[in-house]
Order: sequence, then C-alpha cells, then structure tokens
Amino acid sequence: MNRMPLLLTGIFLTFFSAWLGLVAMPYIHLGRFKPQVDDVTREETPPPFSGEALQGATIYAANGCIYCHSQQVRPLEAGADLERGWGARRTVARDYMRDKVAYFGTSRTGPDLSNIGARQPSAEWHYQHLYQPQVVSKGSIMPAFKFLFEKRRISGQPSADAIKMQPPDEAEPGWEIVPTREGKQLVAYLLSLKRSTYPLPEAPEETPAK
Amino acid sequence: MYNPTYTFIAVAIGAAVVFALFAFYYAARTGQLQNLEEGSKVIFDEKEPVGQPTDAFPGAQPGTVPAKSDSTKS
Amino acid sequence: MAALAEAQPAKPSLADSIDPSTTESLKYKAERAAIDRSLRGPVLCFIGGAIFWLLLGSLFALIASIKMNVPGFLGDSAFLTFGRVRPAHLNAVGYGWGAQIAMAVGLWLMARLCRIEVRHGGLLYMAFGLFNAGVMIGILAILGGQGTSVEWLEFPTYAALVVFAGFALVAIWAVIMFRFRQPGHVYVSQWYILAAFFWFPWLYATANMVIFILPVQAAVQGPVNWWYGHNALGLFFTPIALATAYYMIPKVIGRPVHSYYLSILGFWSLAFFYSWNGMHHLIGGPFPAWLISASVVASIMMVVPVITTGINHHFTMVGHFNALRWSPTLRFTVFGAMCYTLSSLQGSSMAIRSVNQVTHFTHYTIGHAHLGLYGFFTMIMFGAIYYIVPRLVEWEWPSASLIRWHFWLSAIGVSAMFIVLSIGGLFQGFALEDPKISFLTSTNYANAFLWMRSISGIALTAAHIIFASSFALILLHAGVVRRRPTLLDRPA
Ligand code: HEC
Repeated sequence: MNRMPLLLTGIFLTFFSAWLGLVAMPYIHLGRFKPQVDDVTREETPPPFSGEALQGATIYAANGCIYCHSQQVRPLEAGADLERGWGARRTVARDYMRDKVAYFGTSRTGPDLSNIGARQPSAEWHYQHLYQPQVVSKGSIMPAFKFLFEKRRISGQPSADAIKMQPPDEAEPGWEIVPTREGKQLVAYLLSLKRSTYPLPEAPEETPAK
Repeated sequence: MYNPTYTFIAVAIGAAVVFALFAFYYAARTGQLQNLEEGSKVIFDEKEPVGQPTDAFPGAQPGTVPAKSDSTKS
Repeated sequence: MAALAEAQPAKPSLADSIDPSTTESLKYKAERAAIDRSLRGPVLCFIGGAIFWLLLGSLFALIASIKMNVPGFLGDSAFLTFGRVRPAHLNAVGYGWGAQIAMAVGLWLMARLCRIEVRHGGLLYMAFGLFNAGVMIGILAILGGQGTSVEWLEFPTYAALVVFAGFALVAIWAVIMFRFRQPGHVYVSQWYILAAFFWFPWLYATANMVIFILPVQAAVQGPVNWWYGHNALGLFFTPIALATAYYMIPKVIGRPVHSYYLSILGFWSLAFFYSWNGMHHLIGGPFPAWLISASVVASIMMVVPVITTGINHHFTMVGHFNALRWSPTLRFTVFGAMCYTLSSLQGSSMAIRSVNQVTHFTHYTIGHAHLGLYGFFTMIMFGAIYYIVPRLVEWEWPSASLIRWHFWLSAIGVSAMFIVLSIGGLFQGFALEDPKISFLTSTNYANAFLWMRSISGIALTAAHIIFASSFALILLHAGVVRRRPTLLDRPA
C-alpha cells in the first residue's frame, strides 16, 4: 500500500465516523435539555444552583473530591446503588443540565454524592466531617480538609459560624474554628446535591426489593 | 425526538462506508494488495541486512550474551 | 558518501523544508547515521524532559499512594491534598512522560523510516520548550487549586493551549518528514505514527473545546470526556507503542515481521474499532443505552486487532526467544507486547456489563490502567530508548547491570501492582455490590492491598532512578568503549 491519499482518507474516515457517533450525536441528543416546569407552581426541576453552590462546584473540582466520589446513581439492574440508599431513582442526563461541569466520577473510594444534600442536610455535619472525617465517621480514610477552615482568636463574641469540635480537634480556649469562604461555598454545593430526589417523567422512582 | 441532523449523520456514515468499500476496490484493482510481504523488508538494507541482530547489552557484540568475565560495570 | 552529500541542497530555507516539491531532496538518500545525527539534539531533549517528568510523576504517585494508607500523611497543606497530588501524578506521567516520549520515539522512527534527515530541527526545540512549559504550568495549576477535575483533562485551558501548541508543532514536523520520504514501501510503523499524530491533536482540541472553551451542557461532557480519555490511550499511546514494537522486534533480531498482511489488518481494525471506544466507562451512568452499547460492542471487537497483532509479534519471535537474553531493547519490547495482549483482552472483558458492574468504580480499573500505560506503553518506550540513545550519542550504555536492574524492578513492580490492585479491586467491588456490607468495609478491603501497591510503587520509582542515572551517565559519555560497537553504525 503506497497510495498515500488512500491511507490518509482511511485514517480520517475511521476517526471521523467515531467523532460523529460519539461527539456529534450526544451533542444533539443530550446537549439541549430544558427543565420540567410544574403546571401549577411554575417550579422548575431540576432546580437551579445558587451562585454560592456553583462557586462550591469549583472548590469541589480544585480539591479533587472526584478522585474518590462519584455523582451518578445506577439503575437497579446495574448495581447496588439504590439499595445502598444513594438515591430514590437512577440519575438521568437531564439531572445534570444545571451543572457547568458535571463530576460523574469513576471511583468509589468514598460513597456516591449525587444526593448527599438530602442524605446529610446538616451544614454543621459537613463542616465537622470536612475538618476531621474520622470524628463523624470512624475509620474513614477521607483526608481532612483543614485548609478550608481558619483557626482564629475570638475577639469579643464568638462567631456564629464557628464549628464545634471535640478534643483533640477542638480549638484551644480563646480560639475558634470557622470555615473560610471556600469552605462555605463547598458545603453550599454539597447541600444542593439532590439530583434524584424529585421525579422526572423519563425517570420514575425505583424501589429496591428488600 | 426526531431530529433532521440524525438523517444527516446516518447518510454521512453510509457514505463513508460506501467510500471505504470503493477505496478498497480501487486498492485491489491497482495492485496495492499484491506483494504485501515486500513491505516487511523495507526496514533492512545492505548495511543492516535480514539476519543481522542490531542490539546487545553494553560490552557484547550484537546477538551475543556478554561474557561473565567481561566486567559490564564500568 | 561524498556524492550523496553533494546532492543535498546547501542550506534549505524553511519553505524548502516544508514542501518537498520545491527541492531536489528526494534524490538524496540519507545515511542512517546522518539521520540520527540530525535528530540528536531535539530527540535527546524530549527524552530528557520525559525522564524528568517520569521521576516527578513517580514522586507524586508515591505521595498519593501513601495518603491512601495514611490519610494524615502530608495532610495539612492544600497543595498536597490527595485530590491534587493524584491528578498531578496522572498528568505528569500521562503528558510529561507519556506524550513526550511518544513524540521523541515517533519522530525518530519517522525520520528513520522515511530515510531523511530532519531539517530546521530548531523548531523542534521550540516545540520542546512549549510542551514542557505547558505541562509545568498545568501541574503547578493543579497543585495550586486550578485543576478542572475532568479526568485526563485536568490542565486549565491556558496550560492546555500551550501543551497543544507544542504538540501540534511536533505533529506537523512528523507529517512534513513523511512528505519528504524516500520512494518505496511505506512501513506499517509509519502508518501508525502518522495516524497517531493526526488523531491526537484532533482529540485534544475537540475535548478542550467542547468541555471548557465553548462548554456544552454537562450531560454531553461525560461522553466527550471518555471519548477523549480512552482514545488518548487507544489512538495515540497505543499506535505509537505498536509502531515501535513493529520496528524494534524485527530489527533487533534481524527478521522481517511474520506476516505483513496481518499487520495491515491489525492497523485498520484498530483504527476502526478503537475510535468507537470510551463510552463503556459510563456503563450504568445517566446516558442513553445506544451510546454505551456502541462502545461496548467496539470494545469487544478490539479482540480482533489485539489477537492479530499478538499473533504477529509472537510468530516473529518464534525461534528467537534466546534473543531476550542478549538484547535489552527486546526484553522491554516483548514484555510490553505481552502486556498489550493481556491488558486489551482484560479491557474488552471489562466492557461486558456484568463484569463492569463489579469493577467499575474500584481499584481494579486502576490496575488495568497501569497494565496498559505502564506494562505495555512505558515498557516499550523504555526498550526504544535503550535502542535509540546509543545511536544518537554514539556511545554505549555505561553498565549492563543498571539495565538489568531497571528491567527487573520495572517488570516485577508493575506486575505486582497490577495483581494487588486487581485482587483488591475485586474484593472492593463485590463488597460494594452487596448492600449488607457497610460502605467503609469495602474501602477497607481495598486498603489492605493498597499497602502492597505502595511497595510496588517504590520498586518502580527505584527503577526510574536507576534508569535516569543510566541516561545521565551515557550523556556524559561515562565508561569506556571496550570495542568499536557495531551497533553504533558509524559512517566509514
Ligand atoms: C481519599 C479519598 C477521598 C477524598 C479525596 C474525598 N473523600 Fe469524601 N469520603 C471518603 C470516604 C472513604 C468516605 C466514607 C467515610 C466518611 O464518611 O468519611 C467519604 C465520605 C464523604 C461524605 C459523606 C458521605 C456519606 O454518605 O455520608 C461526604 C459529604 C464527602 N465525603 C465529601 C467529600 C468532599 C467534599 C471531598 C473533596 C473536598 C471529599 N469528600 C474528598 C473518601 C474521600
């Protein structure tokens, strides 16, 4: 085979066909979702993220939570996700239409976080967990994210957003531990993760057989 | 959810297949599928002909294992 | 020799170097040694840069791996949190080492097979500078908290653009070399290299475009992400490594490849099936079934090119297995070729839904990735470096025992890593699939094996340090040349 045009055309076409199938087709199929609007309340599902939560998504990215946590719930027939209580139904493409970048994830060294906002609705819990995972979850190998917090001297009244830790993580007397702005944004993001808690026509609820 | 672009993509993939078949036919017609095995010899020449090994551990002739006595540590 | 040199135009202008139709150069058939010399600077730079990133990447890997055992290790600084060190590792070894060494070996092979000297090699230094600056900016950005957390595309756009520019320059140079090639058969390695240099910029540009520059809705990003992630492996690293194996095995033992026909079949089936891979990373995910099924089918069809290539390499070797004793290059290459067969067949099996259900989110996948990118790709690149560098610097490797240590530490290290991650991953996967077992138990199952992973990682790092010292010593012309080494093929 020495006719180069032939070789080059082949190299081009094989790749182009896959490009059409795996980039162009998904774009057409998955690229233009609109929210479901309730006829009565005019409420939109999936609901939009708050500005703070969207900021939090970049903190999630910057600190690589994705290397241990996924954000996708597989259907009943494809895994034990629902039985583990990680969602009321599988997630579908439309659930992600509000994300700038979706962190589907490929690793489950930690649990799935698609619906963590519904599973752990307490901000305080998240702060304590991020500050020292072993405190709320004994034996956890999740790293502590102390750099999302600031330890500072109490001047006057203690801050309202100071977090309560137990020894040995407790702040010394006269000091307090408060989340930084990034820390608050991250927790706002986590609390807004309720991807498959609302119904969508294309994704009915599934109940695992007990 | 019909979308006219699907038709375009289907036609494009069909055209690519037809084109590929044609290219194959053309290659066969012009003799490009003959003497295929010739191609495997182009990496050899007079200086490094078929049958001549071209690599060895340091301190050995190509195609031989370095002798134990030959201190391979420098 | 003198007559040949006269036929070469005195000093080609840039235009002459780009367009063969403007020069007489086609009449000039370069000597192998002259080709090597024309590439010496740029290729050595690329190899050196690649080894630098290999060492740094190994260090990141060790830190990340130990953090899995001891979460508090180096824990309090933001730079070194697990979620930053791990992508720093991936990008250092994936781009800094992998892509860079692929460029070095690809360029060298291309020049040899086209039988031309590279011209205006100066531009390649620029490519080297751009590429490494891009990787450096990208890694620092990841450590500084600017990473994107889109796997394989963690570099922020400003770094990705610089990386792309460096890569594109090399790709263009490879294509130009190809246009200047000597008439005659085009060897199968050239096809692979040409294709790889054509496919990769397209992949990289599409993925960055669709995900970051003109972002589409997030649901499209998943498919594009894995179309890129898998094809960077399948349509860039794999073709370059196969091109190298198709050259090194026959060349080292001095015997043409068993069946050229099979190699052609292997090439086209790889181009056709591998390009459709990737969506099987999304099995069970929030995407339409047809999309995922397309890749599952393509992934299983990969058995065709893999078996074809495997048979071909094996039958080329038949009767020459003792060559493994005398050739360092061959050892690495054959080890790599075997891992190619193994990791590809494993990959096809992992695309089967029922297997994937267990292995998907576990360390099993990570073991698979190391078998592919280290056992296969990196080992073949090591082999190529052992072949190429003496010819570039006209000096022998300083020490055979350093090479042996490098080989055994790498081979045993990566095999051990693959085995422990696979077993640990299976334990983890089966535990995850059983809702009666608590979540943390699944993590702990894996962690028992992750200790051993760290140890195998230490072996690999030691191998890399040995390798880097060998490389430094040969650059310094250390050791004595004990004979006129025929393998250096000096011009008479
Ligand atoms: C080294 C892996 C790792 C990294 C990196 C990691 N986690 Fe975790 N995460 C875990 C593990 C293991 C658990 C389960 C034990 C626990 O609750 O701590 C967990 C649990 C959680 C939980 C509680 C889930 C539940 O169902 O109760 C949340 C929330 C969480 N992680 C958030 C994060 C965020 C946010 C980040 C990034 C800033 C992050 N994790 C990074 C490993 C990790």
